[in-house]
Amino acid sequence: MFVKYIKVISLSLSLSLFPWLALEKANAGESLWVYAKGTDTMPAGELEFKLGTIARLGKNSGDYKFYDIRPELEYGISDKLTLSTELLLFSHDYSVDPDSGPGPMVDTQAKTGGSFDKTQVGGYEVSLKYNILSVYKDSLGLSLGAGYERRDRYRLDGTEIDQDSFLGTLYLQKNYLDDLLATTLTVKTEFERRKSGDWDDQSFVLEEEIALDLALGISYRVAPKWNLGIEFRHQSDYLNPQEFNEQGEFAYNPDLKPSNFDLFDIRLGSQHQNGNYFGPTVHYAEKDWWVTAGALWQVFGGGSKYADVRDNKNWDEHEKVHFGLTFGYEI
Amino acid sequence: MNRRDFVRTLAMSTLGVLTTFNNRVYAKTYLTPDQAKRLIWSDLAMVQTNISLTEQQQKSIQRSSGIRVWSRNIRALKSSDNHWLIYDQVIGKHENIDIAVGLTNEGKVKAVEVLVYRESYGHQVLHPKWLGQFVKKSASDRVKVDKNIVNISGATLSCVHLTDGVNRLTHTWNQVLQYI
Repeated sequence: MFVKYIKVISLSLSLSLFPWLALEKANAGESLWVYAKGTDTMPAGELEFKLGTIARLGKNSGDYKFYDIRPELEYGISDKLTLSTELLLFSHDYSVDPDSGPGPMVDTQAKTGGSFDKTQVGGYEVSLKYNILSVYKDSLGLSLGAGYERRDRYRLDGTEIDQDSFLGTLYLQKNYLDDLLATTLTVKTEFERRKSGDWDDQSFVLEEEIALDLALGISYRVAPKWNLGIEFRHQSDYLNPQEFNEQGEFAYNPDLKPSNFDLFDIRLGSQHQNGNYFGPTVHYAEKDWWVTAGALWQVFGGGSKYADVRDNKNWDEHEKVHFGLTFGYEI
Repeated sequence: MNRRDFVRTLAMSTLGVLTTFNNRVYAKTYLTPDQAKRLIWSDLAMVQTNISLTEQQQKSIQRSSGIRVWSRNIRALKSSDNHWLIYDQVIGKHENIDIAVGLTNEGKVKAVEVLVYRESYGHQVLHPKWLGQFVKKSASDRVKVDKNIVNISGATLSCVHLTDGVNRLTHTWNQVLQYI
């Protein structure tokens, strides 16, 4: 377990320290939080490299570690429009108790000898961010984002999937005290179409899901280069999976409402689960690089009767704590 | 491709991309205080005249300029005919930006110079043409970005804080310095 942890940290550090040690240094437009993002876009022609790692640790039983590692490049097409591309690297290491289920991790480890330990390329994401109002001279900063994400691996358990997502993001930011105190709200909506399993053995599942990711951050520059903050994150999803029932019919669950996002028919289905996190963040910026770290604990969660909810927390899609670490370099 | 090969390929690709684009400008000192003095006031004889604002003066400047006065200490030079050179700092993205502002005995801006710029973005504010917008402005002009000072896209934070700083200092002259 410890060796696995060291491997993941080494992977993250090697990816981030490579450019740091090898290149001359510049400066950054940075993230002050783990999930929340500000309204800033990159200046025209500027390129930034980021490496974000979020360690999601602990379920209500067994041993669960998942590292979501994202090398990312951001480029300023114009002062108001930023293009970013990121690779999704998933590193799983878990063995949860069978009575934690039914859930994807229990199903997967049943096929792999009681545990699952793999690092995989999970997919990629391409997105655009457009700044409409400047947080520095308008009364409120406002940016809009749009993106496409492709996933070949399921974030929860590492199994093979076929998932396309379209993302829409609203960024709001308000600064106080001559921009020393920053507050931000990021609302990200994902429209996901996910296929998994085999049609032939009737394990095929089709999920059309609308997911909401909302993050609220406050950060204060306590000293030159140093920011301390707090962050709240809510994540929930709304869906009714289509799968083979006991009669062998491929159908929706009659207890749940399906989500739909066809062009002229957008409907929010039943909420499957939700998780809510809260914790502190710290940010340090040098002229040439910056780093942000944060720890967010699940404070409460819930979901439908099909979700694993115990002690007022969600455990099938959420964890005890998320540790985030992001490095950024202007290139 | 196994995990080791994948990591090696990824790291080398990243390094290659980063090396290609490694051509940035860095933060630096542009002028020393003495150089700024010579640039703004040539050989005019000036003496060190540091001032500590009272709490009442601090509030009064804040009220009239609409800009927060973070420090009550003013580091300045003054000539016998009441021209001023003020060394000041304004807030940047990570650290402060050091500036020098020359004010005439009528409270008008003679020139604004950036001494130290520690940010990676926004160097455009160092352009003489942008800084030249402040010349002859006084407290009554109430300089403000997008009103009588042109904003530079991509350097908005620096534009706003430099402009606010000049606005604060012209009101400081109006409230305090002209009576010294």
